[in-house]
Amino acid sequence: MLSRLRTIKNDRLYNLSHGKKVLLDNLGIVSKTPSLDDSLDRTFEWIKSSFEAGGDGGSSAYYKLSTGWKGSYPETTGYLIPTMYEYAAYKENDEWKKLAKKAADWLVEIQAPEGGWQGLHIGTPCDLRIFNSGMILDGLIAAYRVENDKKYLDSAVKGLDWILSKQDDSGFFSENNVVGGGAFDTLVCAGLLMVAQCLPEEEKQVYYAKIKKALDAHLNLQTENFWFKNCSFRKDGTALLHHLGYTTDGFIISSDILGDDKYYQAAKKTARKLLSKFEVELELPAYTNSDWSSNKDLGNKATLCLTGYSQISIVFQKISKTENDLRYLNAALKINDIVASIGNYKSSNKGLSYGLAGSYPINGGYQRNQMVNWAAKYHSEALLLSIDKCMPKAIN
Amino acid sequence: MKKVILVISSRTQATASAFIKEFEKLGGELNGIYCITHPQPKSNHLKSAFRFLKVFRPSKLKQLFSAFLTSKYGMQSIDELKKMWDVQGENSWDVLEKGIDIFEYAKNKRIPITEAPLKKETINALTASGAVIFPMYGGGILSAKILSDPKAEFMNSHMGEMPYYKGMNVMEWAILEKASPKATVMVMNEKIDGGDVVWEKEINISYEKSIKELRTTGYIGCFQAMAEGIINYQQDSSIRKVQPKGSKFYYRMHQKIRAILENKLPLAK
Repeated sequence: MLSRLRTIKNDRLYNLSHGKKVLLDNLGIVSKTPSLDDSLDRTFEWIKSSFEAGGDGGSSAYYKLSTGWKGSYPETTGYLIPTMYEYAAYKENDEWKKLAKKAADWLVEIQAPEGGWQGLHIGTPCDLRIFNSGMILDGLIAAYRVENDKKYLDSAVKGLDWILSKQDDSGFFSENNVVGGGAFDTLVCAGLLMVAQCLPEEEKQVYYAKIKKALDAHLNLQTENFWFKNCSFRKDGTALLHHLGYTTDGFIISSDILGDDKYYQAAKKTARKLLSKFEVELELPAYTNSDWSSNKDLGNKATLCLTGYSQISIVFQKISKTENDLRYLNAALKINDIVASIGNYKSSNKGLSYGLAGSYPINGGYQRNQMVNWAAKYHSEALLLSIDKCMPKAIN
Repeated sequence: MKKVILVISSRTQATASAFIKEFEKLGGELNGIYCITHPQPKSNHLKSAFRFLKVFRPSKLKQLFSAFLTSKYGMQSIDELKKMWDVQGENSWDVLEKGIDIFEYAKNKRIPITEAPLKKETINALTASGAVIFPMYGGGILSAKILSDPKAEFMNSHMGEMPYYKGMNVMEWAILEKASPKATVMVMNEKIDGGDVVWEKEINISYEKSIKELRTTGYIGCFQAMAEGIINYQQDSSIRKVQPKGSKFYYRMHQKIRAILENKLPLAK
């Protein structure tokens, strides 16, 4: 009883908007499923609030029930940039293009002289981090391609060199990395490849060789049943769906750039497991054990990781497109509906309105009681991908 | 020759009635009908008197409160959302005509009826005088115990070609993938859709204008395949074949993909 009262006080559940969100989530009540366009526009409404909260050009990491908006988060601002450009193009709205450019300028500005970027959010002292820096490269390359300004490429190359300078002999990135690195660093590799791809042929091939070494090392983290070891920031032997999303998407992007099918095949094997688990159980748990069983992170319940959901939708859509296999698209559409319905929550509190929490229910184990900008990013990307890129090719 | 005992779960079952029609058309004869019963637990009068208290259970209160909120604020439960993919209105009991009274039919044809729960002992008794084929229109997934009788072969029909179209909505998936939809008759085993195949029949699709109409045609194809399969298997058991490798499982179709399929109908334009 006392601990419940403490939770109410600490998470400010006495605040009506907070209390209502927690209550509805725990009752399993969501809004009616919005149309794809409505969901996209509303999610971007929340993303806009996250940029306004920081006011420095970056997007606030999250809105936490207990403390409100956090400082801007370089890592996730980085990978929000390509999604903002895509949204701007889809909506023919230059406002989002300007905001994306401003975010890229901010990232160039805060880059450390060594070439990397700090971990965590602005206002929280933290070392330079490999994973965070890798995610930023995606945004800088998008800015370089759209704005046609070499300063973004120069900044990205500096980042690339710093990251590769930290690669250990076995190919991994264990130094200067969150929890000493993990399977999720395949998305760092994808970011590195995106940068290297823009360089002259000879230079590019030198970088490709180093990045391939990293990818091959990370392939060894896949287990016999296609689960991934070291695939969570929690060191308890579970894999977080969000990180499985990073890992599989990292392999798919890398395979596409390098033209090497083995990385795609590795991702597909994991995706096939996730497809059947999702379709049979009609949900994917935030954390899985090494035998793919669900790990209970909220009392006797396994909660959902909304970011992971959308990332897996993206992976499914990519596989559906490559293989012309509609089963993956079918599951992705279901996932998009679930996340869109959960996110379709209107509130007078901008931190909550149309945002997406780390977990569902919001008080689940991953990023407890926080509306996170990376969930909004991946949901938007999953929706943008399903608009016209995947569906027509798969169906016709 | 192996006997045929039809397994049903109710005396007016539309699916079983449709099978009987197709089986008779081909000259098939049933040797028995086994109606699976579900014994009700003994009533406890004292418990019944206090049944109204169930409403005060925390889970029930939560359910009532959720129902109130969803109706008042135009919301939905996450379970309701998932049910959208479990499309109602297209299962056999919806798309087929009302069944005949199977007990009345059996009485007229002097076919013996067994009414009992699904138990190994009952199966053993029915196979005591020889091998039996059981066309299954009731009973669901069978336990290893039930499947253990070597003289019993439980047959089901599936609206997809095996092993390439396992799972749900397979006829719709096949059409969408431009494959010829087929009905397959299998000898059930412990695996879902994993049994040996005894018969396969193409389902002819032409002027169906909706998924509901497609499914009606699909079900009729399944009953015809079951009837043909059993008659042929009675004469030649060597037609039974292990499924080749290459299984592909399909799941319930999302409404957007269903809409795409419906837009393509009718196939014969």
